Amino acid sequence: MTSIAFIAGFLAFLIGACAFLPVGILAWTWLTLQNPHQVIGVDLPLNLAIVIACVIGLITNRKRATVWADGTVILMMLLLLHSGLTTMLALSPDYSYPYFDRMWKTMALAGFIVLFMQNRTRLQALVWVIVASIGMLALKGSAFSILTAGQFRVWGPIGSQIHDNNHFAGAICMTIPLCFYLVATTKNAMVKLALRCLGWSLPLAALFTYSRGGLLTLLAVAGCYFLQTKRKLPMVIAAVAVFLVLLPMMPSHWLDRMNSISETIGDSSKADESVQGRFNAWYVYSRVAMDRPLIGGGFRAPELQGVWNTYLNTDNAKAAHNNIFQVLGEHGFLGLGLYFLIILLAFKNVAAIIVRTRHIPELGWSRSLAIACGISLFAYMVAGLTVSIPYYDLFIVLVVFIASLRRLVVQQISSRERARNPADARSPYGATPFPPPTGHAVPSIQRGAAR
Amino acid sequence: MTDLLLVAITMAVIIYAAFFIQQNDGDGNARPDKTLFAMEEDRAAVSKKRSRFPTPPPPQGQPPSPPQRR
Repeated sequence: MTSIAFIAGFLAFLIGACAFLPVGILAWTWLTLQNPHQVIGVDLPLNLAIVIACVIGLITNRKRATVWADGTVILMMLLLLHSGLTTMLALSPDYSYPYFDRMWKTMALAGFIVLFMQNRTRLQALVWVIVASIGMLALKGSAFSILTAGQFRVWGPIGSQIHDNNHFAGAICMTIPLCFYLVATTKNAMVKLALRCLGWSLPLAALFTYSRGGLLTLLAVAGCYFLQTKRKLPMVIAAVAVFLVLLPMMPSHWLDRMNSISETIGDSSKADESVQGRFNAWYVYSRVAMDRPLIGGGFRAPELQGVWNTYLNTDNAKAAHNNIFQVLGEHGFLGLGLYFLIILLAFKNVAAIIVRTRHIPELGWSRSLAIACGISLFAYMVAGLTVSIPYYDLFIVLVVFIASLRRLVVQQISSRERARNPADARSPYGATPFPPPTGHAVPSIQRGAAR
Repeated sequence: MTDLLLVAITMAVIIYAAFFIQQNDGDGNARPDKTLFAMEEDRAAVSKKRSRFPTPPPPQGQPPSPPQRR
C-alpha cells in the first residue's frame, strides 16, 4: 500500500517533468538527496525514469537554455573527464565503475541545474527541496532519538550515499545553514515556525548519529554563526544553557564515545581501533598516489584487500575516511588539484557575492544565501576531514548552485546599473566603469529623478 | 507509515515549489524581488492596496513624467 501510494505520487512528478522541466529537476534533486525509494523500500529504477522525463521536458521546453559556464563548472567537467580516465585505467575497473556511474549521474543533474535553474525563484525552490529532502530524514532521526532517549544511533537511508552515521551527520550539518536561511527569508508565520522546528531538529539528529566527526562539524557550523552574528553574547548564553541542559541527558555511551576525541588528541597511543584504522588508510591511499601520481588507483581501489596488502600487511582494508586522501588515492595529484580548485573557486564565488551585494539592500537575499552556502561548504570540508564524501551529491549541487547564484547576482547588478544610467544601456558594451570624456553631455536620468 | 508521511511532506514541498515556479517564472524570467511564501502575501497586499487607493489620474496641463525605471 505504501509503495503504491509512493509510486502514484512519483508518476505525477514524471508527468509534471515532461510538461515543465523544473519539476523534473526538483524531483531529480529530491531522489538524489533523500533516496525516497530506499526509504519506502521500492526497488525500481526511478532515477532513470526521472532522467528520461527530464529529457522529454527538455525537448518540450519552450524557453531555450542559455549555455554558460564559469570556472567551477569547467573544473567539474574536467574532474568528471579525469575520473572517467582513472576509472578506465583503474587498478580494478569493474570495482570502480559503479562509483563513476554514480558520479556522472550527479554531474548530469548539476548540468541541468546550471542550465535551467537560473533565476531567484528557481534557486529558492531548489533550496526548499534540498532542505526538505535532508531535513525530513533528520526529523525522523531526531524524533526517534527523543522517543528512545538517545540510546541508539541514527542512520541514513539504507543503500544511499549517506547511510553511514558519519556521512549522515555531515549531510545534516550541511543542511543546517540552508534551513536557517529559509527561516530568515520566510514571512508566513506558520511556515516559519515549522522551519524553526525543523532547524532545531537537525543538530539533535546530528548529535545522535554518535558521529565524532559530526560533533566537530556541528561545532564548526556553530562557530561560523558565532563569527557572523552581531548578537554574540546572547548566542554564547544560549549555547551554554543548551550545553548545561543537554549534557546530563546524554546517554553514558554517547559521552564515552565523544570523550575518545580528547583522549586521542591528548595521547595518540590511546587511539581506538577506528582512529588507528583511519591512519592506516591515509598511509595506503597516499602510497597509491605516490605510485600512480597522475591517475591514482581509481574509485575505491585502494580499499580492495589485495591493493591494501601491497602497502600494509593488515586485514582491515577500508575507505580513507578523509576527502583529501580519498581523492588523492583514487585520482592522483591531478585529481586532487582539480578537487581543490573546485572548492577554492566555490568559496571565491561566495566571497564575490558577499562583497558585491554588501551595499545593495535589494540583493540582501543573495548575500544571506551566499553566507548560508559558504557555511554549508565549510561544514562539508570539516566533515570531510573524518569521512569520505568527496563526490557527495549535495556538495556537487551546492557548487553549481553557488555558481548560478553568482551569475544571477552579476546580471542583476549590471541591469541595476544600466537602469541607473540608460546611456550605458544603449551602448553595445553595456555599463562601462570609465566616466564619459569631459565636454560630452551624456543624457541620463538621475536615480532620484527616475524614482 | 512514518516513512511515507515524511516522503509525502517532501513531495508536497516539491509540488508547492513547482507551482511557485510555474506561477512566477513560467517563461524563465522571475520577478527579482519575490521569495517563496512571501510572494502570496505581497500579492494580496498589492491587490488590497489597489482596491482601496486607486491611482489618481495625472493632472491636466502638465507634461507626462519620465517612465519609471528600476
